[in-house]
Amino acid sequence: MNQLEQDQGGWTARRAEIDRSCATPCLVFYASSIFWLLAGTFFALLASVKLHHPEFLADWSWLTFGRVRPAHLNTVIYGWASMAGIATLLWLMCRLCRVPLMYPAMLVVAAGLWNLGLTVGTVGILMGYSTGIEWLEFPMPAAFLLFSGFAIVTLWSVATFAQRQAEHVYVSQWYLFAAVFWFPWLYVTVQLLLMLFPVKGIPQACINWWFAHNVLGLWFSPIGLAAIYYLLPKVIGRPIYSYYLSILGFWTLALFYNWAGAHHLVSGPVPAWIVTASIVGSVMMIIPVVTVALNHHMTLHGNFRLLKYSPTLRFIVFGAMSYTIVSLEGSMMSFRFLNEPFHFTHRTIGHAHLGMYSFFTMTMFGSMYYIVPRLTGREWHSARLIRIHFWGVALGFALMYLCLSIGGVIQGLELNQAGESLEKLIAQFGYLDGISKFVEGFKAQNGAVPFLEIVHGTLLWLKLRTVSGVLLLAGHAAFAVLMVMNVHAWGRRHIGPTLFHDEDAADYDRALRQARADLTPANSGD
Amino acid sequence: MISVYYVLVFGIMLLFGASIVWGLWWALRGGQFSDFQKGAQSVLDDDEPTLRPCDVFPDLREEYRKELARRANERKA
Repeated sequence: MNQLEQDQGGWTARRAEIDRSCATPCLVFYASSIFWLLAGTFFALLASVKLHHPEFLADWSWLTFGRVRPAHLNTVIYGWASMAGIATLLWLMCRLCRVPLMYPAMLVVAAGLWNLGLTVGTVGILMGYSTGIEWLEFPMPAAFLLFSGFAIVTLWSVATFAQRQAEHVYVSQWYLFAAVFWFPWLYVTVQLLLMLFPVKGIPQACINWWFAHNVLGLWFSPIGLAAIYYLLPKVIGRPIYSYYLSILGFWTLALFYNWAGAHHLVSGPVPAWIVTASIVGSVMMIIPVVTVALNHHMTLHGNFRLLKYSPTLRFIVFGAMSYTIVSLEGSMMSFRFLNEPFHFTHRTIGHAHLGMYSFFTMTMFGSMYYIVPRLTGREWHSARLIRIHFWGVALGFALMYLCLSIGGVIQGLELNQAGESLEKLIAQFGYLDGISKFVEGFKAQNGAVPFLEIVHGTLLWLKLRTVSGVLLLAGHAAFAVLMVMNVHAWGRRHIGPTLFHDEDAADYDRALRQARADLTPANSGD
Repeated sequence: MISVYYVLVFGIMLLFGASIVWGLWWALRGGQFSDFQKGAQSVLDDDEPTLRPCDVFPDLREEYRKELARRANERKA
């Protein structure tokens, strides 16, 4: 055996050792996250049905809309998304630092504390002990348990980083390391200012939305982007297009994102400079978003045919493309002229789901398709269930986004009587004549619409949203079955990666070979 | 009590703000941004050279190759 083969055997063994060390805690976090995903989807469906059939289960106080809706939000944010994110973070951290996970049992304790916090919090909300502050509805004891669990995760991340064997700090590590610091900063600050020593008046709203917006951009987004920056090169076997752009993207995110949040308070009784500063920060976010979008697109360039085969690649590319759309949409929506007519409508809910579901959740699904087989030592057992999962969630999300967007825009235009602020926009940009005519026509047709008619007009879109929820639930259930089959080694054993179709394996290999041939230095122009 | 809480909130803010500035300084001083080509390659291990697919079980790569060959033969037959 020559030196190269020995080295290669060493790398393979080291990766396997790292995966083994991560297996128990990561699988506990992943399994818990899927449980909370199903619970959160169930609460979401209940809440969705109640919007068009308010009498549904209305006699049970603990299943009223005011309790089920925050139960949905908190179980998917802290249960599904955070737990899936923590497992991905731990595995990526160990792989990138090239060291096994130390004392994995302590992270199982962290998962236990986190699950206990979620249970206490969810039951508390359903019993009527919600704090009433959006994104922070869990009562105080639950927040303490969540923080205790997360403190262990942060300490372990720091210890893993301190012991790293890799000389270079890859861009994913920057994102992950920042996330484990940013989340406790946000959470402690908001608990101090809103729960322990609550500030009074307007600052409450400012702090609330500073947290709610930043938890997306400084906790979930870094983990999602770190996963994409790691998995994209791994799956297609090609380094990212521009490492310079990736680093620029990270540091500009660190610089600008924290300013966003107060744009949720446009037209509220908030000092104008706070909202303006937030809008400027939101617009500056175009820089990191464009760098990330360009980098992902150019890295995948020439390999798009692989999307037909690899579940990991299809899910993370879906997530990456959604990141670009939701971020640019967010920058646009922060402008006063767009925020005023569409805030407090279903359009905002559609935007939030584009970020948390289409970007982050799809990226986590893709990450789990790559990571879980390496933790259990078994590939996914059913290509059919993977297809049901993908098409259930992709079509379900697309339907939900369309319903909430179209229904929300109509709702906003009617609530604002076709919106003066849109006309101001049109006056500034003459080329938007089409929109001008639409708005004028809308005004002429509708005039001032009575409020109850506006509410009634949203019913069609809300019913369709419930249909989309059923599709999403079907996709989630398929994924949960896949996970149980994998952990328990049920079903036929796959040798290579499980692709969307069993018969795709040879085509996938041919496509990879073709991509490789296309990318040889002579062809790539390097 | 209120003053303690302000010290705590602003202290945390300064601590985390300073940590990111320190992180940037540490990275610049340590040469983390000096070789971008090396940085991009660092995600791939030595047995995962550029222009090769990596989305295969590390321990089963040889077995996978044989399985593909078997399926190709079956198809030809």
